[in-house]
Amino acid sequence: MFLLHIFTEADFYNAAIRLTVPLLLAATGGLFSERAGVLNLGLEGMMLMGSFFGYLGALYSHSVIIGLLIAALSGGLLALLHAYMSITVKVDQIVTAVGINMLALGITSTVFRLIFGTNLNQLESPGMVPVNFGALSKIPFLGHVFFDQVPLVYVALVLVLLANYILYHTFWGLAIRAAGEHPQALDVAGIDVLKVRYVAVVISGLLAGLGGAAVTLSGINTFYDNITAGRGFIAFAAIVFGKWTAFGTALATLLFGAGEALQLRLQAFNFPIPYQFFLMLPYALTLVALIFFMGPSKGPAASGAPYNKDKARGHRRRPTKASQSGANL
Amino acid sequence: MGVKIQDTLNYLLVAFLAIIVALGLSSFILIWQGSNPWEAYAALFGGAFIGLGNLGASLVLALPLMLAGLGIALAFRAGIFNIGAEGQLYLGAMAATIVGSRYPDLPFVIHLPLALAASCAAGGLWALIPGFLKVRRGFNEVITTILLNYIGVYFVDYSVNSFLKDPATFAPQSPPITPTAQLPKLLAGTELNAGLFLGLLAAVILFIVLYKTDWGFGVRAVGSNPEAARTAGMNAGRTLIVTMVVSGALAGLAGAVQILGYQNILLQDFSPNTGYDAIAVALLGNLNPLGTVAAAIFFGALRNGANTMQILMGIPVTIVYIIQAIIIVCVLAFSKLKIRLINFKLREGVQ
Repeated sequence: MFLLHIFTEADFYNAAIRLTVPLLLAATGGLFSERAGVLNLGLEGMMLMGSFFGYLGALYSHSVIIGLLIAALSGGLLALLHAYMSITVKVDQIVTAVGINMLALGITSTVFRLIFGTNLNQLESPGMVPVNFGALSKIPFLGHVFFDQVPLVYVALVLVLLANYILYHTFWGLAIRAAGEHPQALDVAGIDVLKVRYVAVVISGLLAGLGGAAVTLSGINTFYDNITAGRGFIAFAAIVFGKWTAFGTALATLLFGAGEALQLRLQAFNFPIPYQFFLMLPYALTLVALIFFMGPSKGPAASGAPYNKDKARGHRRRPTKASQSGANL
Repeated sequence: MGVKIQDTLNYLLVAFLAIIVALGLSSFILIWQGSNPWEAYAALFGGAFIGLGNLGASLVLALPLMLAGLGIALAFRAGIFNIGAEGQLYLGAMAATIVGSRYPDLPFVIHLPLALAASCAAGGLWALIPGFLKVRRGFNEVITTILLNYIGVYFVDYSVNSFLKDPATFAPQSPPITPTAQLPKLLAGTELNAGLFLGLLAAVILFIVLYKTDWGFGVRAVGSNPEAARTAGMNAGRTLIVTMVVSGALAGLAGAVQILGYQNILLQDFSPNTGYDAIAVALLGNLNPLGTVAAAIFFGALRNGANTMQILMGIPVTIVYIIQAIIIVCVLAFSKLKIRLINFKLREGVQ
């Protein structure tokens, strides 16, 4: 009965969409990186940077827009480090990401303490407010679900459509996908594989940073340690679950967003199950969904493998390293 | 053999340079905060190493990192990215608490080993899930272990609020570990406990197994080239699953050492991020068991010294994460550059 009540309320669907947006942004960004052949497990750290510096930017500039810009930039900057390490220095991409995530946790929590000390009543920054669609917002049920959201929700939806268009219908998208599937072919066609990968990774950082800002600036307008709480990892899982397509990834993030919205409601309803199980719910749901609803599928063939121009030309080696770097899923 | 010593020396140089760079970059934050980096690092060093109490405290903090780091190093050697030490450590701690806080009539020689074994079993089983899913169903262990981390930590959180809760208190905590299941203290006046022997023993055994046995050769072969290992007739799947279980068992043991040797009570979020920090430890240790021990002691000292630095100079403890992260990134980058240098020299020598 409780469940039925939750599922018939517009508020649940409104919250599900709102909670999906941080993941949607990060996963869409991550998709660029993964299609270009660079695993980005650093999404978590990039989101964390975005959530903190977005908050800080909005707080000091009194402008949400500037906050969002700074969030995207801080995520992009960390992505640049990931790109340098995994593309230029050719370090294992999963291992680099471990360092990246730790760096983000260190920077955000240290700078936070240095600025605010141990004062727990820290300042609230300006945050995003729902867009006013006038009459549309007054439509029963659907009005609250679709036309009572913060602007970033609509930006995210446009970005997904844009990502889909770019990846599958433009030359540049073709280059990105080729960099992930068959970098040698791209190289022979005279396109700089490393440059394509750099751009893709930085895009993933920009969007992950924006996704982080969506956590801090759409309601709570404040920051605490490790506020993203693994959302970057979930975004990473959503890309796999969505089989490396823009729309599939978007649907996968919606599953997690709905899980989180459900979790919050079940807690509020005093449902007779310990709250820890609700906190577990989004992660368990993602795991179960991965195991039971998705057969093993393959990621981009060259994903996880650094591209070495000289070697590729000299020995015509296929990137077999991909299979041991965890790219086959 | 000569080449091996050369490699080790090279790696030590790389690690040393990485630490210098990390301390150098972190000093910008100290200067921004208004501290003198020299004074700050002196406080860090003093808090970490000067005096028996500080030294003992550093080692105590190093123990869980050491055991979990050894497990991670083993898994990485087999080419399997066990990011799940956090969850495995929590479940290991829970299992050790279940056994260690009950059965007070058991003699020490049975009770303590039983509690330790329970932690290994719990950590190993938790690691078996992603291992099985990877080998049999082809799922990426990175994703499954991360998801299992959150599930495991929340489950332990639940346990101290329900079936493991001490009925004598209102706080969400387990009953205390009975003395018969506690790891004995090694030095009076310090928290250093017999867990140190477990850590060192595990490192030595792992070193011997990895480098002197067929199974260890198999692990390294599967890790460096799975296809070649399969062609050579090795059962790569079985090697991966066993490796994963041993890796999880070590992480579970790390949780047990924390509870049975030091805290003597299970609390929620009792050891946040240890499982992730242990990844950094394994990497800094160059995925070598003995290197991992050294790296764990270094990280433990860093963490312990940072507490002193915070008390004396008001510098947040979290700066340790920045230092750790920069060390990891630099070690990765420098060792790649170093390898290029060595290859170049070799080529020169041949010509």
